[in-house]
Amino acid sequence: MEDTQIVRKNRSGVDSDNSLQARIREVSRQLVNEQIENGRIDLQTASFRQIEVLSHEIGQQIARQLGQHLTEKQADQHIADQYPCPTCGRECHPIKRPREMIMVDGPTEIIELKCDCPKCRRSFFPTSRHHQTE
Amino acid sequence: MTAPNVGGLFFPHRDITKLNNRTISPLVYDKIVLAGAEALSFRNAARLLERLAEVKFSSRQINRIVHETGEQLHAEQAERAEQFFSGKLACEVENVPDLAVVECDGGRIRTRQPDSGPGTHDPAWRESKVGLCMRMTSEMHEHDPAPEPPESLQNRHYVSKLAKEVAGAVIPESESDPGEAEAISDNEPDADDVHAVDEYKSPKRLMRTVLASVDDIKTFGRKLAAEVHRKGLNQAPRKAFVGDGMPCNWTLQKTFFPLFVAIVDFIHVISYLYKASVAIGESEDFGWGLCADWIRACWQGRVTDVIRELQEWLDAQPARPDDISNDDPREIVRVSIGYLKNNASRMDYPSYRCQGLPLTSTLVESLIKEINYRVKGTEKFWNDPEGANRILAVKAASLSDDSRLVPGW
Repeated sequence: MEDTQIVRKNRSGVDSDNSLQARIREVSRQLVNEQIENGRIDLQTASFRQIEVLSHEIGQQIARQLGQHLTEKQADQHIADQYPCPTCGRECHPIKRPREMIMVDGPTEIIELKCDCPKCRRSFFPTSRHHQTE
Repeated sequence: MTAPNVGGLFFPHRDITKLNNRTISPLVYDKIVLAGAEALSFRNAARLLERLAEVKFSSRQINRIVHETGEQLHAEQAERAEQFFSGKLACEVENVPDLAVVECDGGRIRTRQPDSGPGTHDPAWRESKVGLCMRMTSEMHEHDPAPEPPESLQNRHYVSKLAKEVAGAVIPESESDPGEAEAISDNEPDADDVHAVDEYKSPKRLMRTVLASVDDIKTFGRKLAAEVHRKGLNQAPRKAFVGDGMPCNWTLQKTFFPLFVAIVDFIHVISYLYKASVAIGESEDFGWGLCADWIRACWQGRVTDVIRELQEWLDAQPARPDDISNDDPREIVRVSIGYLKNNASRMDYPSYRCQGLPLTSTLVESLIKEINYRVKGTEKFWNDPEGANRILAVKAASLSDDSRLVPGW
């Protein structure tokens, strides 16, 4: 049953079984097996409500992780850059720092770049203009 | 040649998943029902669902689902009542509450005749009944913890405002008309308005469940009795039933909750004292002294003194004509005497304070406001009685602290 390939079609009728879908399916299978092994759900008795609650919870966790990873990747792309201090104009090297953020899928920590100007002791956040979180 | 019987489709997996042929998942269904119960309208609910839950349903679909849920809730209540009165309803809680309080009040809802085609046919107002069942906690006292009324109840302007606000809610049925009903409801006091009485530290609510319907009083009482039983409230060592002075409340209490201490809402008492004092004093300026004395007397459990004073005044007046106006001071005093006499046995406030019981029905009155927020409006007419019962059941379930709004699938 686990090996059965169910090719789903999206609303436009195009096969959605692209590489992302295949990867998600693979990860989902692994997660399902882990959840069953860990006793988080008993498929002998689980109602669909219980299945949906667990699926949604895992989906939210994945979404939060994606938010964290994507912001970290974005930060990585800019960490080698230098940014002028808004006060004195001195070029500063950024560092990565976590920041609490409530996403639509729940609270998480995203990663953003932070600069500390050694001259005027001002902190500023150069990635804010990308995230528009200021 | 005989062909084998053709069997119907069957879905053994559904016994486990508890799914039927719906294409809406349980969690989405929960959101639809909650939005339908809490939003101002089904159209509003559709908008909220699309924006907040990212699911798109038409107001008609939401309407259908909410009514389906309401029908089920209403039927479950009736079934529980049957089970309770045949001794088959189990109590679903393990720990007995220390204090159980039931508050009852009535509201109004606009209805129309069903199955009469599009539009509103035979619009009418129906009385709704609301029952609030609470698990509470409070301190008990050997002596009256607050023998004097709080300062605010000795404040003329505050009492005047309070009495006028309550007055709308105690207009005799014959005097009120449907057009006034909206204003009457909106003028009911809420908990904030009467916090003064809470200086005595009235009980704190731990959990509440709510029933509301346009059922007749007996049917409603049976359902309420079943609700009280299944929540273990009738096992509490201290039990109180609070209502305004409406006789139907006390019929309900005597029939279904005889072991509950019956308490008449002190704020309603104040409204009658205020009206009588203004009538006798011929103005608020001259009547206030009497009002303050009588509030104090009733607070201290001396309602018979107040009745005697009012009766003495009334007896000294010229005989009342048959066609006496409702505004005539003699009639106002007569009505107030009647109210106080009828409710005197439910006005032992010093004893209630010692037992840590509530003195007012403000919690259920606030609740009625919350219900009205959903069910009442100039454009809202509910099919009589099914539609009204369904929306009331769903809204009441939404206001309850348990998971009754979550379907069992």
